[in-house]
Amino acid sequence: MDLPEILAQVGLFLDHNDLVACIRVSHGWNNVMQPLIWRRIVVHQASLLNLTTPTARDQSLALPLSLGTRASSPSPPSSSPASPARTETYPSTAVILENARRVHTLIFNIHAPSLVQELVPLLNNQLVQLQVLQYSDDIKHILLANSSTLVHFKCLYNAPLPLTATTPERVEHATGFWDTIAQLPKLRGLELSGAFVYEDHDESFFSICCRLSSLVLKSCRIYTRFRPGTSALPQLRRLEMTMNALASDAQFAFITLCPNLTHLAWNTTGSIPSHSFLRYLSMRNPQCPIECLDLSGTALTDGELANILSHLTLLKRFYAAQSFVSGLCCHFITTSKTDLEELILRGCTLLESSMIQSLLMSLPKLRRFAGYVLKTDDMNPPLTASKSLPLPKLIQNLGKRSLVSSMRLLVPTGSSSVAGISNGGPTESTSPRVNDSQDGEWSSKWVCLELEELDVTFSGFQDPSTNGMQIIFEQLSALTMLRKLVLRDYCSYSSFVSQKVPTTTLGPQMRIYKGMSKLAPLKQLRMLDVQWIPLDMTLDDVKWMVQQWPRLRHIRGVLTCNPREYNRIEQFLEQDYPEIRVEGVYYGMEYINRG
Amino acid sequence: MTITLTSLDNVEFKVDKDVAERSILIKNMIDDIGETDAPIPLPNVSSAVLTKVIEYCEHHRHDPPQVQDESDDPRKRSNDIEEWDMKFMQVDQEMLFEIILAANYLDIKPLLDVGCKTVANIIKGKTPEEIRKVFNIVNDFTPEEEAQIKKENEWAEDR
Repeated sequence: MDLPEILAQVGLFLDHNDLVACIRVSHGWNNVMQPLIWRRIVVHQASLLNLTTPTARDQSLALPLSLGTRASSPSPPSSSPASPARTETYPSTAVILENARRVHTLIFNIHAPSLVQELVPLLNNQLVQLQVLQYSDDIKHILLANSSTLVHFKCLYNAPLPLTATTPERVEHATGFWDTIAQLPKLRGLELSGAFVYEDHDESFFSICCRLSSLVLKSCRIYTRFRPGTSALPQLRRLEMTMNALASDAQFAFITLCPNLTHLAWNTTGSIPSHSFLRYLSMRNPQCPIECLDLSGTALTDGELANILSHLTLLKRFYAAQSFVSGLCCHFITTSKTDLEELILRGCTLLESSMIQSLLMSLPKLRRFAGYVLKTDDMNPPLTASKSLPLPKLIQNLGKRSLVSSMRLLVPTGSSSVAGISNGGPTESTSPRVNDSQDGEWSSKWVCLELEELDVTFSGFQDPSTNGMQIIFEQLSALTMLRKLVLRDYCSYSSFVSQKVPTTTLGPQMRIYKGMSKLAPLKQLRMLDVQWIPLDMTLDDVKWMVQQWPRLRHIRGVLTCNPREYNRIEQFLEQDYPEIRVEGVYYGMEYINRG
Repeated sequence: MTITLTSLDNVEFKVDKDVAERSILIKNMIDDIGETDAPIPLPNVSSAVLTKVIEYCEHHRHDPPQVQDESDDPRKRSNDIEEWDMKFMQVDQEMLFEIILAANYLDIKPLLDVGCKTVANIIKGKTPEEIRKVFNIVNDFTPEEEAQIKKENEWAEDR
């Protein structure tokens, strides 16, 4: 590895944290990788206050800034004031300006007009990606000065306030905006929130869209009409339309202009014309190129969603959070879409626990999964059952006949799409793993062993009769590739929401002696999110955790409700593991006070 | 039509033209000198490495021209190694770097990228000490220097 040019190439594939590890390796690596660190800058609030080092950080300043991080938790006053603040540092304004010439990607997480102003003369034909919170004249100057390099532009809240009426100023503002964007010949990705497209902008908007490969429109107001026959947008691969003020059929008309989408997100409160949508999907030849589909929050029925899925042979990622996904979709996925890599079904209240279990038992390639409530009962059927264990409930409830016939109803006449369903539909091959199991004791093992992200609300975590925690830990222990684990507990969540304090126990006991030691194989774990569970860990449990999970860098949530233990844990992590970021609202105190 | 390539250790390889032209260097040479039977010498590449490179080019001979991925998210880009390439890259470290160097010299961008992604995936999530161990690098920093570098650069990235 002594060839700088190769090393620099490798560095292009590393993120910030890995680059920082690299520059600490040796002088040679430092020389090569240091410039790469400045390719991407994220401007935080703290940058403006020049809080570059922990020592320079004034405690009184730090507190209001880091809402939700460790500093803001109302830890008991006994915490020693001498303990150093978190070792989070930020690039200061001075450092940003000094290294501005090296920046390729510039991301503003905050509105920083004065810094933007100072950057205007420094950034010339170098930015590849720019993300800002507000479009302004200074941003316009930066865009135009980087027109020969800029590939991706993301802009939030770009309209001048107030938003209520169409005023000449607003139209003029929008005209200026689209004129500027039209002058960026290399632009391929455009991501806008709150933008306006008036009828006057028809032409420039479409000439811009023609060049794009990725377009994201969120909460935009679109007054232009997408006439059928307008020039098609064959370049567009990724299209996301989220909560835009535009009739659903007009949104759909826009989608139909894009024949080659591989990634489509369509989140609208309006009704989606499912028949036309199916026709659009089935007309793509030889197969629909869509690999990633996001229909979160839409009012499509379970059957309509299942039918849509049946048209997407190449689909690898399916997001339908807060949707009506239920038995029909799950059945189709577990029988015919077992190569899914990502499945996000967060907040799908119709999704039964047994369905989640059968998904996790049927999708071996799954890398990301988020579901709703999973009962420990369903994760481990009663031992009394014979060797041929009961199939998941959904299979029992849904006869094959009713499934296919209910889907047929949804298929538009004249479409050839029924074939997709009936080919993939039969239930004979369903969940072979359940039937094949030889030992009744552990027959419902998950097969998604490549899972990198898991987000499930467990129910029965604290149920001593079913030994819920053991079952959960046992299942989790096989997921050795896990990088992010979000644990939610149904009981503590519902009592948290209803403001009732659990009487018997504070929460599931994530303790070594309670079985957490089973989780030792999760060596890849980088983030643990337990913000929805009140935990009861001790310092020893935390010490075990950081030793077993060497990659752990981020804990979201509070690990204990005991104030004394909380202090000890905080102190330990700060001193021995400063690289682990801890954030969480310390609501544990409330529990204890009420108790 | 076939092209003859000669490696550093004077081994001759006969390959189809479309396979050889996965290398932009060779493609430009052929364009410059016109079609010829004379072997093309590749004095920077050993026969062992050239065998691997040709294996890669044969497998990818029908690939469409590379679409430039515009997204600047590094993590995403290094995760998308296809299965065949991943297996292909399961070689010892010395060979891995030889392949990267050859891809660089022969100007085979997709192979160079796959090689660099493979190295990047080795580095990911490791501490500086672990990286040194893996690549056999001597730490020439004093502890103070290293701490200083860490302090200056480890700002929190929102992820």
